[in-house]
Amino acid sequence: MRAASSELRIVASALGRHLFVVDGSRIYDLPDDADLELELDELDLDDLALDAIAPESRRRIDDAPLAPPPLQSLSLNLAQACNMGCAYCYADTGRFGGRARMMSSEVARAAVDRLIVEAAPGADLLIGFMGGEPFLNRALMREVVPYACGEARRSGRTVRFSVTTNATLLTADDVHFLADHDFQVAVSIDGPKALNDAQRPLKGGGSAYERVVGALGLFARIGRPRHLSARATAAPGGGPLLPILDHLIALGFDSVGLSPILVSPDPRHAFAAADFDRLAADMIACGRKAKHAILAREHYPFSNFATALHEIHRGSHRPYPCGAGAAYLSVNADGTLYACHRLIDDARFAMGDVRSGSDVARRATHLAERHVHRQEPCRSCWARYLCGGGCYHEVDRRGRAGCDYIRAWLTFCIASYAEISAQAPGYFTAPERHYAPMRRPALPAEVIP
Amino acid sequence: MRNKPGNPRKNPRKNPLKPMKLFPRNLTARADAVVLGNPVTSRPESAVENCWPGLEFDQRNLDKAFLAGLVLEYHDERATIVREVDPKGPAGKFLSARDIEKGVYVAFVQGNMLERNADTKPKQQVFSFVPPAALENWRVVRDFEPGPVAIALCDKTVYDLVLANFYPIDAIAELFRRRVDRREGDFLLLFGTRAHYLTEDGVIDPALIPPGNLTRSMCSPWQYDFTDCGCFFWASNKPDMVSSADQPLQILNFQRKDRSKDAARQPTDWLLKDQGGWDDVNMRGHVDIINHFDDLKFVIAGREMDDYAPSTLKPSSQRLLSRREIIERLNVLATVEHALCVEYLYAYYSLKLSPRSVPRREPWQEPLRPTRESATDARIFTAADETLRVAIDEMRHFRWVNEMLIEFEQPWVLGRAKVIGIDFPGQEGFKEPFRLVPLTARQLDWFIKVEKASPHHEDPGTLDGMYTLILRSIELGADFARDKDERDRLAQFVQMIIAEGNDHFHRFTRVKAALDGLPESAYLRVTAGPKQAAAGSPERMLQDTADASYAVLLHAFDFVFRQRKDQRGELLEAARRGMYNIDAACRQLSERHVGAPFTLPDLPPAEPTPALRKRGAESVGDPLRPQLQRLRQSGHADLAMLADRMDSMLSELTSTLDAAKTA
Repeated sequence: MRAASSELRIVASALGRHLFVVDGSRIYDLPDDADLELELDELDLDDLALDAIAPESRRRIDDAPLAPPPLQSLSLNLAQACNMGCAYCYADTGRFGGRARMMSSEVARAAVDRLIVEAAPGADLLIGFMGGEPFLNRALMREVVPYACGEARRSGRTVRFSVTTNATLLTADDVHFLADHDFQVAVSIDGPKALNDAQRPLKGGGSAYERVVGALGLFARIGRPRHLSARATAAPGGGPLLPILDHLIALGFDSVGLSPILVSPDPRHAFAAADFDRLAADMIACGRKAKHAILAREHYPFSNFATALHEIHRGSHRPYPCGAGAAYLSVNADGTLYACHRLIDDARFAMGDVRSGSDVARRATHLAERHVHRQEPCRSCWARYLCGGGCYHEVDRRGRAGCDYIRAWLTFCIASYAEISAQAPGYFTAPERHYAPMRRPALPAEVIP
Repeated sequence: MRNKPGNPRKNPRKNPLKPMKLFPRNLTARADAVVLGNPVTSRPESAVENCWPGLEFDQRNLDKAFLAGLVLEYHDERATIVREVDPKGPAGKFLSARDIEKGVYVAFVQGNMLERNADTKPKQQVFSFVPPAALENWRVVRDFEPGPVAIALCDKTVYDLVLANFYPIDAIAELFRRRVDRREGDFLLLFGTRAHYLTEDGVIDPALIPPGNLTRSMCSPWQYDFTDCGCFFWASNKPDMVSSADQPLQILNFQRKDRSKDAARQPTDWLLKDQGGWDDVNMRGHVDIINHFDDLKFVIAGREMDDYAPSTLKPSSQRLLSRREIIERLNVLATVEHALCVEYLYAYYSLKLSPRSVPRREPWQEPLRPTRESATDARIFTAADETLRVAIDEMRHFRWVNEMLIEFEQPWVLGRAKVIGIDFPGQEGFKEPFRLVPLTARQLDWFIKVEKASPHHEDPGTLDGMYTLILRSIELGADFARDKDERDRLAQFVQMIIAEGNDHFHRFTRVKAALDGLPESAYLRVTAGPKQAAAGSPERMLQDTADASYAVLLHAFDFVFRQRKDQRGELLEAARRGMYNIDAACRQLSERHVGAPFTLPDLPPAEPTPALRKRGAESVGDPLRPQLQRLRQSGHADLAMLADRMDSMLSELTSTLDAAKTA
């Protein structure tokens, strides 16, 4: 028997109760007077005659895997090396377990060419710069960006750029460059100074936090890029998350995202099974604050929550957790292609190289194997089309340890969605008018050399 | 969700979801909901609001149910009748199916009307449905404001009395005062409130108008709505007059019954008989058209086709032309268009034009043709008309090529080719000396040849091919890649020339068919090239006058090209008037069996100089005025009259040029 709980979920919100239909990620309000005593686990799907709401013949997601689509995005590991020594780093201080090395100009250009060759006509391309610390190879970044712009234009496409950086090496020139080329900049910073510097030591000493604040000062003085976000890695020993979020939002970032460590070279830094309940409660506390801010039309850009809300509003449903191996690949310093930036130098996720092309057969196999219908316990989980099966890197190294946490978080997000869409629908339908005039805190102006 | 203690779980076999109404909250939930009912296109707020009959639905069908319990039919041949009665409704007590069968007529209605230009509160008014005009009756009900309505129904016998105005409106209004459903006197009186038509949710009430009723009459040819189409949409999309490639006469009636090849020999066969009546004898009615639609031919670009073979364009291997090469060719093409125009004009004036037929004054006017003419006359008329039209088109091409040169910031070219040819390295084409020749069969063949489209559309040895190559070079060439606006402007000129060129070939082919079988003596009255007439003779004076008019036209063009670009369109239209004087002189010559020499005049250099630009248009007429004076002093009354006519046309030309210039 197939439990109805694999196709339906009842979620309670301040408005009442809602029915989440897994097929199509559809949300319905249940009538108040419904005398529901559904114990979905014990109801057989066949008895439920789900046809009215999710007919077998019209399922939105079937077992067919995605065929490898044209590439749309590449991340370039400009520097497999780093000036910091964060213990939890998936990149093992940038070296990915190998030797430190820089990408060459030839490889970078070949990567751009490769992306263009394998992209769809007229596509909007995205090139990300990662590492290690990409600004260790800033000369190459300065060279590749105009090259990519020219090549993209010549091929009738547009290209945007992003960079993930620890922001400890940024100069005024760098800030100009990022603003001029409309970058999306993600700054890695874990919280207030003490916490941050404890988790993120600079090789050679000094305060990474102060360096980041200094960089923010440069942005304030010189000009902001297209988007300036903070990515905070949450460690189990880091304490409650809400103060971290508050602090980072107050620094003036356009958005702040929290990323709990699930996989780390040193397992002490990763959340253990026993920690997930607390993690869920912490994240929900952050989400609750963000929700109240939205209802009060105040800025509190907690990106995990905002992203979830919009996906739920649209009813996103997909059998994969992300685009890795599909339209997104990552390039290591030597030019080999991997499914994503976390899986650099992992031979099992190698997918061709920039000179001879992506390995389409390998990508196809990857997409066939990773379809959520073929994962356990995903295939019977109600959250499968929102979650997609979990990050390939995390699942590969550690398995699916955090499913309860994910489900708790998603349940909270669905309920929040119901409340916000009822009380402040403009947040979704007319976002440009939703907020009161911007009261985003200004970036700190002091510049610390 | 746990069971409440003490509350036994309901039977799990019962589907707990079934009886519930679920409100879709997010986008995929909303997208999933399928609502049965009238199609979304029939929502009144998004409808085109068309009811003649209707593109999405016929709004008139709403008013059939304006009184609950009854469905009327306005468009019945008898009158407005009751079509249906709801047996459970208020009328059901009084009317049976049998009554409906026999005929229940709507004699009077009452409802709230707004008086225009008077007070703004609606007042109850009574209307008789006499005469039984369907749309007028419907219009009354349509205009009813919400509020009380009443209806008086009767049988046929009584209705005939109603038609005879036996019942005054006041008497009926009196009957309507006691608002109780009843039979009284000769009528069945029913009362109610005008239907709301919409539910609270703003959709058309499906209880009032069952599905399907709104769309039973629609804008669709299958429902014979050609005649019902009040906005003439369908009428405007069905051609009235078409041309046919294989008939000697140009214009055919699309709805003609006789479709044999010999049908169109007489020009008057296709006009309305008896000054405006629909010709049932010769023309198909709407019902016939639909029943015999397979007899109708495809009509493409106004011409009936027996078959339609889409052109198969092969990708060209021709090298694209550079900007410089295009300019070179345009310089040549301007002179070629000029030369062709004059050759065609000479040919036109060589024909036996009937004295009463004159060229149309404006392009859209029908040519004035004599009402009584022989078949031969009709054929000559066709040949002449087509030839003149082509000559005028060539003048336009000459103008457009020059406009392109100006666009390229090159001097314009008013010269005339001595050799008509396309001859460039690697692109040899035809080469014929420019010659003024009457419209003999041989000359006609040359005209057909020169206007022939290249079969592969890009054989630059033909005029058509040359223009096509130029167009392609503009659209695809690197020299033009930067400026899209420039590309569009230039391409537009070339496209127009190409489109017309194709037409010219067909026109000359028709000329050939029209003259087929006729000896040249039957249709030519100028039989040789231009010979200078004896000095002092009227013919000589006319020839000089014709030459002077020709010079005026070219001066007019020169004047126009010196002006600002934004004025040029109007000015060129004005410059065309220079043709009338040429026509007047040439026609006189033609009647005397003499050809006009079309001597190429001296022209001012094309470089725009400030001095020339400031001059008014008056000077354009300088070449002609002395000639007109000579005509006046010639001693011949007809020449003097001609001079007066030409003088006034000349003044019109120069004053129009001036007016357009300062506008």
